[in-house]
Amino acid sequence: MKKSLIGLAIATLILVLLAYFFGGTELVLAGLERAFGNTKKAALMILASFLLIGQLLSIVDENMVSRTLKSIKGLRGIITSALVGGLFPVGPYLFFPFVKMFHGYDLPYYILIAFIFGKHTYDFARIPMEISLISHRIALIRYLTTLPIPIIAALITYLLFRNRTLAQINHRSTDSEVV
Amino acid sequence: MSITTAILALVALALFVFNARQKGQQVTGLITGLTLLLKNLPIILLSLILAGMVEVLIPHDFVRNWLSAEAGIRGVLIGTLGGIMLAMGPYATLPIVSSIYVSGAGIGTVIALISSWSLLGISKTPHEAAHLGGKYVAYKTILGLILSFLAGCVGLSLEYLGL
Repeated sequence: MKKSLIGLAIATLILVLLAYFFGGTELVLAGLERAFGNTKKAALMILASFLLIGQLLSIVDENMVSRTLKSIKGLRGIITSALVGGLFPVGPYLFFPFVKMFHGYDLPYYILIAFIFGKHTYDFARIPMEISLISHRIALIRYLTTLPIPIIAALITYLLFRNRTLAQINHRSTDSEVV
Repeated sequence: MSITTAILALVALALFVFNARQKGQQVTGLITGLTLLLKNLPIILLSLILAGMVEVLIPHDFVRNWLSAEAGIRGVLIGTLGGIMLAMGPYATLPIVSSIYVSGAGIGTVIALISSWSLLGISKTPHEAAHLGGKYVAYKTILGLILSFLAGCVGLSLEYLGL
């Protein structure tokens, strides 16, 4: 968090300097004016978005997700897994250790792919932010066009790997390295 | 208050009521949301300033020739590859994407950008490699690149159709 804030501050400073270099104080002020306008426009939406995200975070928990993933298979499993992935409201620091937990279970790779792609593509907690920071029209078109991505990814994975698990796939590569 | 804000507030209220009835953790949810907002506020404000600067700095000729709907597949391709480079979280990335869109980028480009950032953003790779292995990263990258590009192409087609 601190690192990304510092990185962002440096990037912002560089752009402010660039604006000053290319257009002087006038261009810097124009940029700040746009920023202020966008902030004013999105402030209430951002507040509503975070209130929504907070509720979502406290409703969906790891146990619920884990229970669902272990009990599904087939096309219905792919769709459920993708949707549950989209509902799973945690960042990468918690998400990948959580996914790794399934290494020991007989969870097919295609279900895992549907879950991960669903998380990244749908991420329902991100919808309010997409709506408030970009536009509801773009958010809607983006969701509709990327809706099939986790399902297509999982179906391709099923065709390639059938019911094999992540552990089996990783062990096979380790075995071949040993040989 | 815009209609979008009203809808978001209504959904938040509905989730609050649902949470109160099903789990009884509605206050925790409220506190979590506000804490998350406060924690992310510096990032949101900085990225909004950054986005404002992008809006005034980005050359219109560049947007028209490389990122707009007129740029066609080229714009989608740049969006797909550009998304990988956006190594930031949603609160920083989305204002930047917004500034690119406001500057005139096409819908196909924007969709490819968001899609490839969310699937392939370079900041995720170390976590994925560490927890799921290099083979998974390679497989996901190939799939993600193809599917993000295709999603961008669908967006571009919709734009050509006038949607």
